[in-house]
Amino acid sequence: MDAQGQEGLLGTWRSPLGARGPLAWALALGLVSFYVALYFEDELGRLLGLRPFTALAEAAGLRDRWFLYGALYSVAMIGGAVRFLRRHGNARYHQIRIAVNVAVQVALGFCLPFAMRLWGAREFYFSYLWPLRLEALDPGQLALHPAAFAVYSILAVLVAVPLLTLRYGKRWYCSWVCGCGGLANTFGDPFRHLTSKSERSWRFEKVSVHAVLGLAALTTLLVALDFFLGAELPWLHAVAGPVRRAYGFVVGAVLAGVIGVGVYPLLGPRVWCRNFCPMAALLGLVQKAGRFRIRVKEDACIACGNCSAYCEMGIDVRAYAERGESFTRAACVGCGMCAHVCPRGVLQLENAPTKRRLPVLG
Amino acid sequence: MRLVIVGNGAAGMQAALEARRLAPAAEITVVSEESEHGFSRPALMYLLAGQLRLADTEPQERSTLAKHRLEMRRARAVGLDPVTKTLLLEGGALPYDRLLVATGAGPIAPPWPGSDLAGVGAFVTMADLAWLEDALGLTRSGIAPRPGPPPYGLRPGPRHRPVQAVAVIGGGPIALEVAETLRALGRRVHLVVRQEWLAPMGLDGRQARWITERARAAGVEVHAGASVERFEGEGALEAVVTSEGRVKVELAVVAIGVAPNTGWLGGALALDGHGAVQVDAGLAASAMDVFAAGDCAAAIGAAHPASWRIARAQGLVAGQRLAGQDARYAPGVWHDGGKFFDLEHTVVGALGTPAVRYELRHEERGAVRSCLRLAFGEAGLLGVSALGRRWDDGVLRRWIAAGRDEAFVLAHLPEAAFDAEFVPPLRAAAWERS
Repeated sequence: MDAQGQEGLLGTWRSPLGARGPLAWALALGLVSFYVALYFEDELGRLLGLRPFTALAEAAGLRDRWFLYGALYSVAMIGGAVRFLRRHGNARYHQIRIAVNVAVQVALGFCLPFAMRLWGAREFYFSYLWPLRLEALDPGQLALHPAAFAVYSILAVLVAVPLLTLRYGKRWYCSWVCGCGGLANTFGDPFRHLTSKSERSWRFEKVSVHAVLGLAALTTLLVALDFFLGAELPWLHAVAGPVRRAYGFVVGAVLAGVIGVGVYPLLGPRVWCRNFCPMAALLGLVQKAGRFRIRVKEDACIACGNCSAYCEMGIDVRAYAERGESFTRAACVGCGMCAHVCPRGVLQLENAPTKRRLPVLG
Repeated sequence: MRLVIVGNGAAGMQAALEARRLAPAAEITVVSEESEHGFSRPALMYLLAGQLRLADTEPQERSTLAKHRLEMRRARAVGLDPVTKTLLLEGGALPYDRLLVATGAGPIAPPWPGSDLAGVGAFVTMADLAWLEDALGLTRSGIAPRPGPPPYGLRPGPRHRPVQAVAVIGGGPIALEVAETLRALGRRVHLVVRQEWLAPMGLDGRQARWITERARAAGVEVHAGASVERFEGEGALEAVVTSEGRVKVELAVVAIGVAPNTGWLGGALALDGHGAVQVDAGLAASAMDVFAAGDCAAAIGAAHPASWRIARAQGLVAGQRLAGQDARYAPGVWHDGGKFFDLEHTVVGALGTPAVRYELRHEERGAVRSCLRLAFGEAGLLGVSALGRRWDDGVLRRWIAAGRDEAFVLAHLPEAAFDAEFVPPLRAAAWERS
């Protein structure tokens, strides 16, 4: 009951921000403008002589505009988390998950990098792993940090990512650690029902998310080769730099920032995670082979549609629930909302040991 | 082969899809007065609440009709001629080779004086939803009712201003859902229940009292043990008079149960005492090549209330019968569940029957507030009724079917637990025996 039941979703489509009304469009426009101005401030500075973020950052005593962004990001997450917990906070899974996610972002995504600068070191983002941050496997970047950081980055992607994902599913990262996922689940929570459930959106997602993963791997390889062989192979050097910059522009700035967050109020909070995030793609592939699944009670679904409607990743959960079929989908970030909103308690997230995968016979 | 299905609810749509799968060449026509695409009727409260949109409540994608070559006929069925094998529609007739009646159930009309006042209605159909949304001053979220006389006496509520005070009459699932939703929409809600407590099926008085307490905590004014005597008003509803007094309201939602939608058959098929179409285990009705499934069909074995789950299961069998196959509907162990406010309940098997020898009961009122009742008979576990925690009723059903004894059930209880992660597990040390 108090530890798991659903409440707080009443009125979602009747709220002024929740139904793609004028206010939602205005907010989307505001968010897009914010990100364009943030990412392209240098161009803005050259064209108009305006550097609003840098000016603000300096006024606030922060080193550069990225720290200002980090501070705003943390504030948005904390505010969003308070709202989230008021809306769904009667479920213990959400209480713990959101608290951890916010704490990780504030500590590792903002405070620690900020403090590292104060100590005179270069900042390092421990919670952003490859392939979400290509720098995590960029030898040129790693060379600027203590060797232990390089070991951390490599162990994270080669050991921690596969082991944790096989054991707990991709949710350990996407819904507990990641800053992008954290913003989606806090600031973006009021828009979770806007994610498209159409078959077309699923066909797009399957291609796009894996294409970006391929591009991320290719770019990383090029940059590494350039680091080790660039001096001998000038053509490689000539290719690697522009490819890296193009990836950063298209994936890092446009897809993750401007589109990823900008369209929250129109297309839901997981547009980036679902369609473009290379980390989510990689974790999803591992998840398919792991223990995590959504367990479905047989013959109990009333087809009301709450699970599908409130799935931020656009998974048609109801189709499985109606068939009484437990399932693992690569896209699922394990936010737990389908199980939370189900009025019949049909769904349960679990890390099932293999023997539990057979029906329990009395 | 012309197959005609009357009704596109859980039974009708399931039957249509199953018949199409088995009979690729058949002409299949689905008749529905209410909606072009089948929707989940249990989700009606979520439309009223603004929690879902109409499309969210439709189990099949809208392309299903075209994809499976199901012809949709938006019309009201008004009669059946089993001799000429013709379904009579408002403004037409439809010949059939095999027919499925899957018209579901509709609200029982209020029997009290003043029930025809504007502002007295029910909450079962899309027309009811539109009526209630109009009266509350909300934008419509469902399907506009078809022009013409409504399926039963339904009059608009007061138009002058959005309604503030509502009486909800009844103590079952629909009454509780409406009360919860109207409360969340900020209306003053009077829940008038004849019994001493709100009693969804299978809960005992002590469990049901928890639901009453929860409703009161949410601000619902529960008038328990009050029976309605009449509605009062000049043209439009102004008050409901109960055995306990007079309550001023502008709207009354009557949810005192549903009855099979079989009046339109006009005696063409044999009905049981509750008005449901009598069917055999193969869902065949009294006329040749006519079948019935879901809430409009007589229960097999035991009486049952409206049930999406049973309608769906019977629809599957009916689809096989329409396709000319031999099939039987086997009810299995009864189970149901639901949620009122944030209180979930699960009911499995038979409780409160003479076969019950004794009951084990456990209550906890800590971080999780829950109550679990296990009923045992000569043959072992007979029934389970749980409030608060989630249980996998599939596991419980297998235990009941296998007649597991007390020692086995208590030792294996954690296998049936279905709580969300991080919810402290049930430690049922002390059992109350009765």
